[in-house]
Amino acid sequence: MAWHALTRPLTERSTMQETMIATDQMAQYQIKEVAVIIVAALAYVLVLGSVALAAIAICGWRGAESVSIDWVHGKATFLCRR
Amino acid sequence: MSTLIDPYRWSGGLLTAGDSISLSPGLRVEKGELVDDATLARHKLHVRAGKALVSLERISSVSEWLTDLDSYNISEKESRQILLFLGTIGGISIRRSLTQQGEMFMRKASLLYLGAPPLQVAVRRSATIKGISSSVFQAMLLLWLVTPAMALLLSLVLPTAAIPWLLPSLPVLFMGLVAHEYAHVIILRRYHPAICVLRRGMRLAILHPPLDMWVEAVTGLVGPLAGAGVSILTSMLVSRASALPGVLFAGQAIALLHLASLLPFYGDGRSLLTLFKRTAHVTSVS
Repeated sequence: MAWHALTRPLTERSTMQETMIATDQMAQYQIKEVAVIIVAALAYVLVLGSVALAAIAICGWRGAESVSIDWVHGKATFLCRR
Repeated sequence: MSTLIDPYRWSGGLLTAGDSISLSPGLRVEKGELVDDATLARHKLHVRAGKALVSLERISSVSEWLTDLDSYNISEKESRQILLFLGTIGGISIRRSLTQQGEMFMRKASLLYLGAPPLQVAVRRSATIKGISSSVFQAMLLLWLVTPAMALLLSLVLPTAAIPWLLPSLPVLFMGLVAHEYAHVIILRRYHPAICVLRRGMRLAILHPPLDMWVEAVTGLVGPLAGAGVSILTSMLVSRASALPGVLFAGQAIALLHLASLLPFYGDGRSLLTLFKRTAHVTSVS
């Protein structure tokens, strides 16, 4: 069976003659996995990247001093840096 | 094996002499085998390894366990093999005081700085709301510590004032991840009560034996949906409490990434793809 990296045993190919513990090769198991760093990093990049790009597109290379978003009217206000 | 051995060096930076250790919940020694209730695996034990793990079934200090290993004539190499195996399957539960935790953190940080990353083991917890919250909190530990510094640094570089969104986004991320994992657990526990949460570094997983196709499919779907829903709800609450409407934007991004875990190359999507392949195979041979 293909052991997942999260639970990969270190004694996979060993036998009882050469090891203290022999992994159960017949065990079938499933995992439901989530990688916190991937979720966090992508969320940060998505949020900061899109706002930074919008700020540069609207205000030029100096960017915005502040950004406010009106979710009710679907409007974003960029206060450009001088 | 000498009992005068330094536990820190012996364990590859995993344990210190003052730590209390025991076999993780859900693991037990039975008829010369290490039985894993979460996966139904039965790992065969050498007689001496069996004695070592029976001794570990009760909570003891590292020094006491080393003395026991010595009395069973287990060599340093063999004992390290047992420890590494347990570390790999999340089989060892370590308890240490806050001061010791701080000390270990500094030691690990200095090892990382020297380019010698310490041994990273899996940590197993029961799949309760407390166990999941604790695992998610620890998986996010680096983010809790680094994000404030990163926010300050980015505010000097980025041409935008989006930085105050970063800190309030952390509770949104935390709540979303807890909801994601707990949603999996609520369904899985009805079919197999002994499931567990496994954490290695910043990766989290719910470990369980293969179940009926529909149970697996529904379980795979509810996690991302619950994570996305709770991320949006929490971001609305945090946004209102912190007067930072941008948190809503971060909440939507996090929700989107929960849903992205349904894509076939990562996380739940990959589990679903494996499930469909398995089903397709069963259909084609039947």
